[in-house]
Amino acid sequence: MQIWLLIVRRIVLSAVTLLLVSAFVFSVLEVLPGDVATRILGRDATPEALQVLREQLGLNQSAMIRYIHWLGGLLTGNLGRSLVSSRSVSEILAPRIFNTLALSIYAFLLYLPLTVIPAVVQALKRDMAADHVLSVVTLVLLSMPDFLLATILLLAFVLWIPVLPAISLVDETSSYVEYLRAMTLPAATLAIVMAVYAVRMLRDNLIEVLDSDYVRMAELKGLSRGRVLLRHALPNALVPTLNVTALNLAYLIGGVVVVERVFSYPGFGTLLVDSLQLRDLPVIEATVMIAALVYVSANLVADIAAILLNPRLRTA
Amino acid sequence: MRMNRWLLGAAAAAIGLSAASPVWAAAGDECVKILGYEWSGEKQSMDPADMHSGDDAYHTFAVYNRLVDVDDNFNLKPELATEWSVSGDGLTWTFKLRPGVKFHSGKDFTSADVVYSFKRLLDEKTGSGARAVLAFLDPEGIKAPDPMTVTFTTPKPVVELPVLITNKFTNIVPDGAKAADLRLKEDGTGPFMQEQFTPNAPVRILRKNPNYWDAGKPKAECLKITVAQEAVSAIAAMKAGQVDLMLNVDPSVIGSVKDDPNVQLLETGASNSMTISMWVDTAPFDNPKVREALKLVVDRQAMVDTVLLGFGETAADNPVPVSNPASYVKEAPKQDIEKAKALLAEAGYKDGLKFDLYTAEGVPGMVRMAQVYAEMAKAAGIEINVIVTPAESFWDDVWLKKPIVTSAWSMRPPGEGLAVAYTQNAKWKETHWERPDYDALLLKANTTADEGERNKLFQQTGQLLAAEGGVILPMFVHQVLALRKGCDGYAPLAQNFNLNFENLSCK
Repeated sequence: MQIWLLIVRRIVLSAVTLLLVSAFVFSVLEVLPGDVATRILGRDATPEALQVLREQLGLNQSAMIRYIHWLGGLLTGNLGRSLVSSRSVSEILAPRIFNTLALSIYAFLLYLPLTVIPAVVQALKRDMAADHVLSVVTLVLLSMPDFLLATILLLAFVLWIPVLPAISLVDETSSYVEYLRAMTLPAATLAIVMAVYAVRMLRDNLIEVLDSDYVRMAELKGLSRGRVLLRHALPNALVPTLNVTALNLAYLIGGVVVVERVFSYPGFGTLLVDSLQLRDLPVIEATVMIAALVYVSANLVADIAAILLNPRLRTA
Repeated sequence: MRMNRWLLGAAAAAIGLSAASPVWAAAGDECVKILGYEWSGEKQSMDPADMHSGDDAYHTFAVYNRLVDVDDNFNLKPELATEWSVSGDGLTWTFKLRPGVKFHSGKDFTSADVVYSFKRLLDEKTGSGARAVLAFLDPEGIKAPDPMTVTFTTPKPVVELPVLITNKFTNIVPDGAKAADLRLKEDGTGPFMQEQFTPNAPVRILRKNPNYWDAGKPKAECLKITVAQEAVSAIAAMKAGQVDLMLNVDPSVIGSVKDDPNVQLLETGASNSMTISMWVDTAPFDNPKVREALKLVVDRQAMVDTVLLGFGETAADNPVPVSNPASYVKEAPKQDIEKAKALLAEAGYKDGLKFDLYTAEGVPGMVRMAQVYAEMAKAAGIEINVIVTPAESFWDDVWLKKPIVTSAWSMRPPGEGLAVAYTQNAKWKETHWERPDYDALLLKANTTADEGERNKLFQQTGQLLAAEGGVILPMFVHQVLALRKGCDGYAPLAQNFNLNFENLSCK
C-alpha cells in the first residue's frame, strides 16, 4: 500500500513543481523590461499607438487575471494565441517540436556509436597509442564550448569538404533526404558534446569489467574475444554510463538552443530565442512549460523506477 | 575484424548520406537564393502597413510597388505614378497613374487603390507606424478626381511630398484589402508573386509575375528568401555557393570574403548614421563649449577605419551627408585636441571632465564606436566610462533615458533627417534640443519650392545643429552585400529596406 502512496506523492509533487514553474515564468516575464507592444512597433512606437495596441492585445488587464486565464487554458490544453500574429500557439509550436524531436533522435542515434566505438577501442588498446590519442581528443572536445565545436564542424563540412549546407533550413515541403542533410551538422555537434564525457566513463568501466574474474573465466572457457566483449563485458559496463546518458538527454533540451541558432535550424530553441526577443508571452510561456514538462516527467519516471526497484523503499 | 567492418559500414553510410547530390533538389532550388540578416519571426507579415523589420521588406518590396521610387540622393523615379506636379499655392500635389497595371489577383489598378492605401495607413485602427511618419497628410485631402489621377491636398505646403510619401510603408494595396488577409497573402502589382509564405517559416518563395507592367522584368524566374542571423554560418553558405545574394555582410566576416574570386562585394552609399547624443539641458553638456570640445576630439576618418573597417564615410555632426548639395560643408571637421582642451578650460573643466556613456550593440559597431570615442577623448583629458547594456532592451530602457548615449538613424531626406530627432515637437528628442530659431529655419526650408534656395536653408539648419546641437555624428555606415559570381543586376540602395530585385539574375 505504502509504495503507491509514495508514487502518488511523487506525482503530486511533480504537479506542484510545474505549477511553481508556471507562476515563476509568468512573474519573471512580467518584470522583463519592455512589452510586446513596444517590440511590435519598435522605434516607430508613439505613446498613442502603444496604447491602442495594448488594448487590442488585452495587456491592460491585471497580471493576476491574465495568469489565471492562462493557467486555465493550459490545464484544458489551450495554449492561447501569439500576441504578435494571433496564430494559435499549438500551431506555431507543432512543427518546431517535430523538428527538434527529429534532431534529438538523430543526435542520439549518432551519440551511441560515437560513445561505444572509441570507448571499446580505448579499452582494448589500453595504454597504447590509440588509447592516448583518443584520450587527448576527447579531453580537447570536452573543454570546447558547443558553439565553437559547431563552428568548426561548419567550416570543415561546408567550406573545406563542401558536402553539407551551412544553413539548415527545412520546412514541411522538405524531403526526407533534405531533412537528414540539414540535420547532420547540428546533430553531430550535439552528439559529440554528449559523447565525450560518456566515452571516458565507458572506457574506465570497460577496463574494470575486462579485468574481472568472470571475463577471465569466459576467456578461459575459450569464447572468442568479440563474443566476450559484446555479450559479457559491454552490457555490464554500460549500466553506469546510462546515468550519464540520462543527464545528456537533459542537456539536449538546453543544448539545442545554441546549436539550432548557429545553423539557423527552425526548431524549438530558435523559437524560444525569437519569441523572447519579441516578448511574445504566450509562446515563451508555452515553450518553457513544455521544456519543464519534459524535465519533470523524466525525473518522475526515474523516481518511480527507483522506488519500484529499490527493495528498501518498497518495504519502508 | 568485425569491429573494423562495422566502422567502415558506418563511415560509408555517413558519406552516402551527406554527399551533395543535386538529384535531391529541394523546393525553390532553381530560384535565385537570397539570404537576409534581419528576422521578424512570428510578426512576419505580407501587409506593407506592418513592416516591422528589414525582414518584411525582403518580400513586400518584391511583390508591391509604390507611387514613385527614390535613389540614394532622393531623386524621384516613376513607378505606379508616371508624372506628378504641384499647384501654384503648393498645397495640392497631383499624381498621374500608370495605365494598364493589374494586381496579382487580376483586378485593375486605379486611383481608388491609392486613396485606400494611404487612408488605411493614416487610420489609427490600422496601428501602422506609418501614421506618425505621414502625419503631414490630411486623410480628407486624398482624393481621386478620375480613375487615373490622385491628388493630395495638405493644410500646409509640403514641398518634398513625393519623397516623403515614398517610405517603407507606402506600397500600394488594392481598395478594400483587409489587414487580416494581407498579413498572410499579398495582393500587389509588383514584379514577383507570393508562392510560399507562412509567418515564421524558414523559407519564402516568390514567383515571377508574368504580367508585370515593366516588360522584360523581372529577370529571375523566382526568388528563394531565407534568413541567417549568425554571421559565420551566413558567410560559410555564401562561400560554399549555397547563396546567390547576401543582403548584409557583417563587418566581422568581411575579411574572409574580400579575396574570394567567387564572391563580389557590393557597397551602398551612406545608409545610416551612428551618433553620440547628449542632452543639451543637462550638465556638463548644457555648456556649448563642452559640446564643441566633445565634437572636436573625434578623428572621424580613424573612426570609420576602426569601427566600420573602412566601409563608411565621415560626417559633419548633422544628418545630411557631406556629398549632398544640402550639406553645409564638403568635408568633415578635423580632430583638434588643443582647441578642445582650451574650450574645456574656458568652460571650467581645466582638470578634465568625467562622465558615463551608455551604449549597446543595438546596431553593429555601436559598442566599438563608444570605446574608440572614449580613447580619442582621453587625449583632451576627458575620462569616459563606457557602460555596455543589453542590446535587447537598449532602445526601450536606456536610449532617451540617459543623458548621453550612442544612437543610430537610418537615412532620411534632409528635411526629414533634420527634423526627426531635433525639432521641438519631434517624437524622439534624443538631445533635448529645443530651438525655435532652428525649427523656423527648417520649416522655411521645407516650404520653399525653389531647390537651390531650399538647399541653402538646409545648409543653414544643418550648420546650426552641428555648431550648437547635442549630437556628435561622426560617420555614416555603408552596408556591404555579397553577390555570387555568375549573378548580376543587383544595385544595393542605402535605404536598406528599399530592395529592388527586378534586374537580378543568376547563371
